[in-house]
Amino acid sequence: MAVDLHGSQKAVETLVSKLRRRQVVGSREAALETVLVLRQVVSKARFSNIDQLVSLIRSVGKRLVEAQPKEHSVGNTVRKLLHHIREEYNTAMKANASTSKTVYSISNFVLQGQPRSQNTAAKSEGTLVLKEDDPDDPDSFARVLKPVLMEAIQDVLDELETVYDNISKNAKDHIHSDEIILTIGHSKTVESFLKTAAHNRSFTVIVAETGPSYNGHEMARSLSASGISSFLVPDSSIYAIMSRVNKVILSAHAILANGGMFSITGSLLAANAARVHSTPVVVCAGQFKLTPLWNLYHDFGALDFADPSAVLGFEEGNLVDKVDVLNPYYDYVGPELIDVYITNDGDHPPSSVYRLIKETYDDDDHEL
Amino acid sequence: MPPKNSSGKEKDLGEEDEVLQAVILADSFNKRFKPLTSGKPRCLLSVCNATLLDWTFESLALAGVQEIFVVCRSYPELVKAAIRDSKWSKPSLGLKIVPIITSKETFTPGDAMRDIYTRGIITSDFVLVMGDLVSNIRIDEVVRVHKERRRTNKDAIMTMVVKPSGVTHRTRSKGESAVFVLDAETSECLHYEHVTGYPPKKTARIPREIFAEHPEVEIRNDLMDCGIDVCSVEVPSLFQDNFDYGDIRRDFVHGVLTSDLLMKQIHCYVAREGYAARVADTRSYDSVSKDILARWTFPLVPDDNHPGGHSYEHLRGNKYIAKGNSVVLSRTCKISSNTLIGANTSIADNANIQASVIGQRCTIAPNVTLRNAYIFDDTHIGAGSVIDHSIIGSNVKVGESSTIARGCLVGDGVVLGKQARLGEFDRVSRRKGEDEEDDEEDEDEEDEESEDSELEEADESRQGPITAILGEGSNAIVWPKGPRGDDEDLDEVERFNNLRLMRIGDPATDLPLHNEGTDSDEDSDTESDSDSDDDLHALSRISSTTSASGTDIAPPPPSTPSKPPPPTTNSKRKSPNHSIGRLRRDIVWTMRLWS
Repeated sequence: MAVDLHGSQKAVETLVSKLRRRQVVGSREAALETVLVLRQVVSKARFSNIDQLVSLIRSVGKRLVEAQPKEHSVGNTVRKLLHHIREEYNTAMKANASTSKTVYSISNFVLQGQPRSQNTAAKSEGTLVLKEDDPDDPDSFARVLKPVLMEAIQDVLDELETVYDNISKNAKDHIHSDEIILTIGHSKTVESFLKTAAHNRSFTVIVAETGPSYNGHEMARSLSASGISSFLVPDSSIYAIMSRVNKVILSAHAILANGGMFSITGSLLAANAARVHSTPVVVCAGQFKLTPLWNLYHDFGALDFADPSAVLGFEEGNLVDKVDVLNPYYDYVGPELIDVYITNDGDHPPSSVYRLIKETYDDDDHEL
Repeated sequence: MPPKNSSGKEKDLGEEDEVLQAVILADSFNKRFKPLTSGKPRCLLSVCNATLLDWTFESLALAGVQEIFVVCRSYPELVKAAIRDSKWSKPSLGLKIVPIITSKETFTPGDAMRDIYTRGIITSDFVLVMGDLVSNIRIDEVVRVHKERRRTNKDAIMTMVVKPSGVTHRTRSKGESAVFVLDAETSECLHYEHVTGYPPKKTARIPREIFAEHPEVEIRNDLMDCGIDVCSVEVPSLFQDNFDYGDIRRDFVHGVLTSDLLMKQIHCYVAREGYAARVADTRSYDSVSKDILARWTFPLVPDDNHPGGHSYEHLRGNKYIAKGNSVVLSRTCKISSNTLIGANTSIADNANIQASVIGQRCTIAPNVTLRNAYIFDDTHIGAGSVIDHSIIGSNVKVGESSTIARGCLVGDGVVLGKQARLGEFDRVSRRKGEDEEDDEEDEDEEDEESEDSELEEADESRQGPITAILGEGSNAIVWPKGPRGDDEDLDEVERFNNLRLMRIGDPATDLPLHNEGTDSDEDSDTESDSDSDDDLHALSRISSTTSASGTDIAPPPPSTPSKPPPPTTNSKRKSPNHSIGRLRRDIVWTMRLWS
């Protein structure tokens, strides 16, 4: 492969070691870093047909995913980018064919009447002359296609950067006045969702502490700082107060293909308690969290276990030897416990997540 | 050091650009792992299927160290080859690793430091670690704190990283620990008292001036020495000036702190977060492995950031199985929690694996029981064997129905016949005469004298009662048990009874560790006052009202980790009863001296 990887190789390796060492955490952070690295890779890459480019991105993606298989948004971003690149390529190749045929998709269906800003910006590639494997000028393909690709990457980047705004733009339709909302953990998505809703409505938020990280403290502080009346409760009282709660709003680490999700420890508790009281469970998550995977291995979740020190201090020398402490990062919350996903691409029930995944990614990319 | 600049800002920039250097002393300077370490250096022993050197590199890489000097003495060729072939020397990582080979006459860490000085490779503050470190502590943070302190205080030459662990933590060495006397405010180390496990040390003597000069003092016996030091450039030269400094802690730290002439200060960094421990002996080998499997070292765990680059699947109950379907597990085998199984290993029917680490390409025959066993690569365990709390080297063949009892060390390439029986704490290695081709290069330059002498001893001891049965067709030789003839001449730490506290699987319950009768004041501090005995009594009296046990002393007012308010009237401070007392085994003292 005629690829000059030298400059971008270093960026890839840096991200790999950062992911391995958990210096990049959080799905949005990881997704952003991935896009930036891929942009560098694409801009430095030399290729003379689309297959070379795709296999190059796939190999980099594979490297990144293997470095940290638990950070699903890395793989998702790579898949999404591949999807975009293929799309751009197909559009460019069929420059003369009508590009404006409307594909029937569930998100279009949901968004009917709401213009999608992303796709309306029609790119003027009508004049592009693409020639693959040109023996006279092998770089011509890359030269012509690259600006288009950069635009596609920029689209992905923009989407990531505006994800919170897009999720919260309909917040006031989901939260009504004088409602009592329960949330858990400190998620930026949920935080901005609630804050946006607070512009139009007045409601009360109950935040669970969310041990052992106790992120809830931070969440409660930030919400009350922006004038939302908020209560901080211990995790153990989630069930007891559920009867008063009108809505549970959770965040996701990854949304799985069956409509379930991984989310911070304690979410399963909250979701189950909500089920018992028939309280609606709403999940706010960006589209980059859609993951074409299932939870096959762990019954109750826990795809990732952190160190026990948050639960049992290292100073408890005597106990350390005798007790095995598990400190799972995430819970697996099944699709039957979730009522709706609010994404930056509309609201969807768990049962249609598979369809969203099908539309967002290409089938060949599920295994990188 | 860069030339001093008038503008502080420019100086900051200059320091930012400096390359962070680290020195790894990749030699153990002792023989605690023999015979596992005959044939390779200790830093190439594998812990959870990655060599100790890899763990150390990862710990340093995590901290953003850019240049690493690896000081090796034994088997330098092997260390060099290991560095060359490892992923660390890939240029894309931006890590510069320089192996340094010191002479055979380097017997102590102090000698190594003198060698570093004469080579003049250190240009700025550097991180000094031993080649057996497993850590996820942010060393860069320690370096930052150290540099900041240096900016105002040129005498602060070193920062030691310690971790609160409680006295009885499995990873804290029982044989070799220390009492740290810290200034509660600045965490300056005011006094360092080395504690050996046997003979049990009951008293620590603290010079009176410390209490006179520092209003608030912490005497801590619950700290685990992580073996990470951030040193300034003067440190190697101090070793050069004091040619009798051997051990970094016992000689150097103690020497600097007690010296009236040097006027240097050493600080401690009490790491609240993160994990750091040394694999200094077989006991800590066991406990560090367990800590890794129990994910204390997260994110440095086998399924996440394995330094050897292997990938493992983490299953419920902290079981780690190599990815890629190369592991063959029989349907009837039983894998209990805290277990790691390397790639291409097969485990046959009815095998029972409990809390063990198995290397790559091993075969475990039917009906084998492994409990707390550590098995290196390419080893075969015969059917029906039982292995308990032992370390088995690589390429070992254990015959059928063998028993390996607690605390055994089996060297690389040993073959044990059928129905072999190794008693508790037996050490077995390959017999010299039968060594094959690969040993020629190993043995030619190695510390022949010492090894030969030990093996001769081995032969002698074989005339005595041998508990071990090696089985037919064995190529092994049993090492002598019990204290060596010259045990008394050895350094206190290396004496047999103390080493027992560092052996894998040895509870050492028969050693009188808590016996009041042996409360002797050996190696008394030169600085201790003559009236300290009275003080000690005074203190015992005080404590007798608070502590019912009366054996180990529970003194002071509530042991508050938080700082009490500063004394209001400390103007005319006398130095009253202070030079202190006995060590309670689990206490942090925050002492305030009121006038």
